[in-house]
Amino acid sequence: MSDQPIKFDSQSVKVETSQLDDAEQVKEDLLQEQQKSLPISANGLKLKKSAKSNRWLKWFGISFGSLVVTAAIFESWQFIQELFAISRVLGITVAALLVSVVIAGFGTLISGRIKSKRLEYRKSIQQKLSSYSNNETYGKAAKVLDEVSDEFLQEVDISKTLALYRQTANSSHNDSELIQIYNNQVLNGLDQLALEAIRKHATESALMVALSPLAIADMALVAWRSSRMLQDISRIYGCPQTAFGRLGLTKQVATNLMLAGASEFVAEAGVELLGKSVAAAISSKMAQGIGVGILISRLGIQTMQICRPIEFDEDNKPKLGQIRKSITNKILSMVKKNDKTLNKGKDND
Amino acid sequence: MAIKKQLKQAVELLDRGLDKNIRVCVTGLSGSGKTAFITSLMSQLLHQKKAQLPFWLAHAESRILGVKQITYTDLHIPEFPYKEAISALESHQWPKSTINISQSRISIKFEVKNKWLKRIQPHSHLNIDIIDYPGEWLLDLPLLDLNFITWSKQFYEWANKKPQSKLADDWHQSVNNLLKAPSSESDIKLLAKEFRQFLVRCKDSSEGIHLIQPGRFILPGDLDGAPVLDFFPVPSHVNISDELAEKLEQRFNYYRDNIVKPFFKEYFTSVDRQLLLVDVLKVLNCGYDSYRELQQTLSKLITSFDYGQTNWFKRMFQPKINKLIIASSKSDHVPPEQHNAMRAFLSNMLIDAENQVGYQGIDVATVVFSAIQVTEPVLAEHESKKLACVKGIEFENNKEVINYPGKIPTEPMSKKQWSEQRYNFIDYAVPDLATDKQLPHHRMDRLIELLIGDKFL
Ligand SMILES: Nc1nc2c(ncn2[C@@H]2O[C@H](COP(=O)(O)OP(=O)(O)OP(=O)(O)O)[C@@H](O)[C@H]2O)c(=O)[nH]1
Ligand SMILES: [Mg+2]
Repeated sequence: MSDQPIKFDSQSVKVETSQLDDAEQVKEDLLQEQQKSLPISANGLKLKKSAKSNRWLKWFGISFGSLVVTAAIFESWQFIQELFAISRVLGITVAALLVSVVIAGFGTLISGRIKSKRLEYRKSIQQKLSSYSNNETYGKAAKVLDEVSDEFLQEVDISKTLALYRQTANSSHNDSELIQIYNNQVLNGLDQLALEAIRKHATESALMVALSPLAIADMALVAWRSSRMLQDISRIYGCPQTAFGRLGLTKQVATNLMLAGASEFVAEAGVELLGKSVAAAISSKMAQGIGVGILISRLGIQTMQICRPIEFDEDNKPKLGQIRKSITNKILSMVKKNDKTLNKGKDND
Repeated sequence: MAIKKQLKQAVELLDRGLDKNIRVCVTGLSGSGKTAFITSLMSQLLHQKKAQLPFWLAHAESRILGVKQITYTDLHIPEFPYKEAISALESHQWPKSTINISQSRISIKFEVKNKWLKRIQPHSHLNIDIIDYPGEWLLDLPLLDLNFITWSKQFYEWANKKPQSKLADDWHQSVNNLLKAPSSESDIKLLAKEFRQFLVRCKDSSEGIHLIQPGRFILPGDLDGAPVLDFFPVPSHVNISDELAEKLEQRFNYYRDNIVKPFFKEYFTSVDRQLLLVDVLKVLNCGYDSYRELQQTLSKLITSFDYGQTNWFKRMFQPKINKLIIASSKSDHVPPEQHNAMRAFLSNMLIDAENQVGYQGIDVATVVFSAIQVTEPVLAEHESKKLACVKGIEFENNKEVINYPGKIPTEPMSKKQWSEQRYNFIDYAVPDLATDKQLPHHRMDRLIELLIGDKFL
């Protein structure tokens, strides 16, 4: 029986010093099963896809889609034929262009799919690691963390912090401890990097919105900047997303934003909405800019939560406060500058 | 100038308010690892500059500026023999079992984190006082609440239980003979000696017996040969002369009031943090009876320290204990895979006591750790399966062995399960260690954080 003690002479058996992998452990499936059936807090809850989708809507979608595609094919066919009529060379060139557009489109779609698979995989890693640290298992996390490190290494140079982690962690640490050490020594640095990226994008978009004269331009600006930010953050956490993959990511971020606890929202809203005195001092365009900046930084923080292999806990959750301050300061300093130039102008009169 | 003076006063006030002195009381029976713990703690702290202590947060935040050992101002207490302990380890020996009291004071200078305090005082320091003493003496604590009659009664109840009942025959015989014999001073001395021999037999037996009272009978310290130790418990069915009864009671009272009480008064007053070390491996080796006996002994101890208002200990010593850490050292005897089970075992064993203390509003934590890690976890191939074992040098024969000690349960075991499950935890020798850096450890950083981490504001 393996439960009874045995003593070996150290020469007589084969040993490995590595951590165990297939030694008997708490069953992983069981853990995940438990997680499903026992939600501890609302954080773990998620809306299921609605089973009864609207049949009419579906029908409409499919028929409308087919109509558009048919029309598009028909039109291109006509278009190319016309071109052929004018000149053969022109016809061939445009036809080739069309084909290359279609191929490239499919290519992007597929690679986006692959990359967003990576995002799904990241999510499974998140779940695995959090179940390890809640259940104090031993010998399982190291492998997963190594895998994550490899993914990071493709995008960011973390060799230094990784070396620090390897030096600190040893074979006596259990999974929960390993994960904490990894969190503190490797991920913390990446978090700083991600927060820096958020700050940069959020402040820049705040400024742009504050300065741009057109509402439609604002929307385009926000879409562009936030998309760039998602790309940067996903790269920092070693799961880069392409344009199409980013759509999936954006969807997740949006769902998370909506599902974010009401309490969190209320707490943040109270501080985020600018003090009245400040709001009165600046133009509505600037207030919009600040609003957009805050929205983008919220998006960014949500993205971090999705991409990060280890979930944030209450202590190390990034706070909006710092970023908000830097956005507001930037805008306000701009206001002051404007005021000064205005005043100067008046003086000159 | 005046403002500066006021500011200085404020700082001094703050200084006192932040209690910059903390007294850590390491409690544990003989062999539970007190001396090893203190040695390791000092080694970790004194070598903190280059140490790996990821779970001591102030250290992880690089806020520890320096650590110094301070000569203690109480000149009558010897200093903890840290250097001796280190040189023992260097020559592959464990520090010797403690026979006298000693104390150590360590001062830690750190960077203040709190944003308000930082403005007044960017750097601060914390003094830690730790005492080491023979674990045997700890068992005298419950005596403070007893008189000679109640003590005798308790003793015989205990002596009739397994495993110690097997060793008590000689003693029962001698004490019954007392009925017939005249009670001259030399007879008393003789019986006291036999009583002592019985206690020593209990201590030296391999059955794992813990409640060996009074402690100075085993380890007299500077009381060796003094008449105060010439007493023994008398069973209730034996009628002794009033004169003898008076004599025994007088000595018991003297022992209790003039030896035990001052000891606890001096060292256990104004303790802030208590670390209770428990050797769970020994009871796992020895089996059910030993387990129960240790459980009762520790419960008695913990509840003696009871932290409630109405308690006599509190009235007498006014401790300020606000945190109790129950810890089991020597985790390096156990494959890391089973550390969680080891902690569960410890926690299950002391669940009642823990509950009572928790009820008083004291934080209780349980930890499994190694003060000095002398083994290495390995996977050994056994019957074509991988078995998580530990590799180390066996103490007995200085041979390198790979040991699978048996499976520690996470749930409390029934008596039958106890008799079926065998354990073989062996003692390990100290391997070659570099002593100019932190001693190899397991979770000392977490223990430091639990003990004093909250003081590094
Ligand atoms: N492997 C291992 N053994 C330890 C450790 N700590 C203590 N031991 C063993 O336990 C024995 C007793 O440890 P001590 O520190 O002397 O115990 P103590 O509580 O001071 O005992 P007394 O001085 O008799 O009260 C040591 O001789 C070691 O064999 C540890 O961290 N790892
Ligand atoms: Mg000792």
